[in-house]
Amino acid sequence: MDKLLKEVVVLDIKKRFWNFTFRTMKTVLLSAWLLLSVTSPAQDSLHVNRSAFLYGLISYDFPEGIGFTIGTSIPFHSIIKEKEHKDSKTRISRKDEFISVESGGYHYPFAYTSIIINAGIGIRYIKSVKHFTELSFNQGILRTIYDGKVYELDQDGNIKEHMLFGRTYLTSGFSYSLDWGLNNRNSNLWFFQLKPAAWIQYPYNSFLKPHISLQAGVSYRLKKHSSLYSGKTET
Amino acid sequence: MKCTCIHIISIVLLGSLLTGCKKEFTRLSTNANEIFWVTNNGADMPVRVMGNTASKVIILIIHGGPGDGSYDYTDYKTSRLREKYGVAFWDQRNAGSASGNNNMDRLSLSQMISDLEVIIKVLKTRYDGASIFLYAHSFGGLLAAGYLVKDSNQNNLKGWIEIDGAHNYPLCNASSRKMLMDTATSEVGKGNYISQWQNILNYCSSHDPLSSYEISSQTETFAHNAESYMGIKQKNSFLPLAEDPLDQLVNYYNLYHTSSGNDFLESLESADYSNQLYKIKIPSLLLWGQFDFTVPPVIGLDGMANLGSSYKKLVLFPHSGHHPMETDTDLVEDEIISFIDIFK
Repeated sequence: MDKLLKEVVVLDIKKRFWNFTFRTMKTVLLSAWLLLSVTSPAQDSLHVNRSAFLYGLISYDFPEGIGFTIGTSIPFHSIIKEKEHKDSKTRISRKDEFISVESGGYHYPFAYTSIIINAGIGIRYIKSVKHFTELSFNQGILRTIYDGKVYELDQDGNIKEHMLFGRTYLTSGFSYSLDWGLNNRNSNLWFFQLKPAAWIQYPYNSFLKPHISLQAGVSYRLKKHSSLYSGKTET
Repeated sequence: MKCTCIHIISIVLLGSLLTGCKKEFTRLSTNANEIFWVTNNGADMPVRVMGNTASKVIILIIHGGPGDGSYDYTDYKTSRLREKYGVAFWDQRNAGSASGNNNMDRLSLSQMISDLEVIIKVLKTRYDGASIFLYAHSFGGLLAAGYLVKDSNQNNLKGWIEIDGAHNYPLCNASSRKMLMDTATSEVGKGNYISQWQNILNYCSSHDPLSSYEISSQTETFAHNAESYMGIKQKNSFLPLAEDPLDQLVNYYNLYHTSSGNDFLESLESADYSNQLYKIKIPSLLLWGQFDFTVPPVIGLDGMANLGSSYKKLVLFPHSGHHPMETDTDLVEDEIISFIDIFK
């Protein structure tokens, strides 16, 4: 009987092992396939000088929120278009697609302080050496911390105080930024950035709370960064 | 890159600690301006306390609506009250700046009464020894009445002030219709705003606000318009009701455009505390605008007839509608100050 039980246990372990191995293989193969799909176009990539940016902005959230945002954007794809105009001059327009990560905080007087972490994806339209614009979509998470003490009645009917009490919300939004070069030379490193944004915070009282923000500050182009990913030209 | 991320996170955390841990003004002051929050069953409700808390008198504002906010009362309407006493501006759940995640399904009159119980308990703990008075306007009158007739809640207070308070919704609806029709007949006869009054008269003659929420709602709109036809000054914007107008948009959307909001509003149509007002024994001051078509003075008379208080007083303001604290500010504040100075 013991022998039989042991065999059953061994069989069960073997079965679980094969299930595990099969699942792991599927995961590894899927990951490898995803990786290949990302790296294979890189073989055709152009030597486009795509730069990552770091930025720091002061933020105003209508009507009373004041805060800051810091973040970075990293390009992963470029599209360069060459157009020949009537005056037989060739003009080049370029779009960089990028991902971004940013973090920030707002303070709403006599209300709360919020901390936001966002991830985004966007397109940078490079108009000239000294000017570009960006359109991006951000998805993030926001945590509020209320001003002042927060009280709650416990199960025994006594008042208890909470420290750093607040709520967690999701956020989604669009922003459009305008950047102007601050350096005189062609190799601009510093840009002035103006960034209006519209975003929503949810679930807020079972619905969503809209926000309208305006951010202003500087962005810094990392000179030596070059992206690994692909680019293409269209004429 | 890793190092940069660590720096970013550190700065964010430090920043939040510096701004989040705001210094708390726990001591009493002649010019207090502080905030605390009460969290109860899914709603986080701010209470802003302003004015002279050193007086050891706190007036708790119970705003109307439902869905309005208390921010609207922080201006000239309470300026003299704040000089003499502390005034606590409470935003009810799903109103003003009160926030939370998914909480609309918990919005009910009984839940709001429970919220008020917690708010008063916190006020009594935080301002130990202070005399607390309620200042309840419109829908706040219903809420205050519901609180006062429950258990021994009234023992927490020194008195209550009801300003055009809707402690009996069915009576509000019926008397609003009657007042609109009577005034319309009279005003048409005088030749004032003939087409507008005739429109009101035609509608009210054929529609009973007690029969449906939609008719009650339309009658309320006419009641609001009627005040302006009678020359009563009105504010027509709802945006100043909350500090952040976007909060107000969310609250109004929730109340008027969602099924839970509509269910709540419809449930109020039958709310009536008239037959329980006899339980209220604490001093009561009833202040009413003579031209209030929304919660007509008949409701104030009903309060006088039914309240069990040994001290009860009804004051009618001849130049006011539903908001006498806006149109007869000095007179309203005089009455409140006299009342509180007697019973504090």
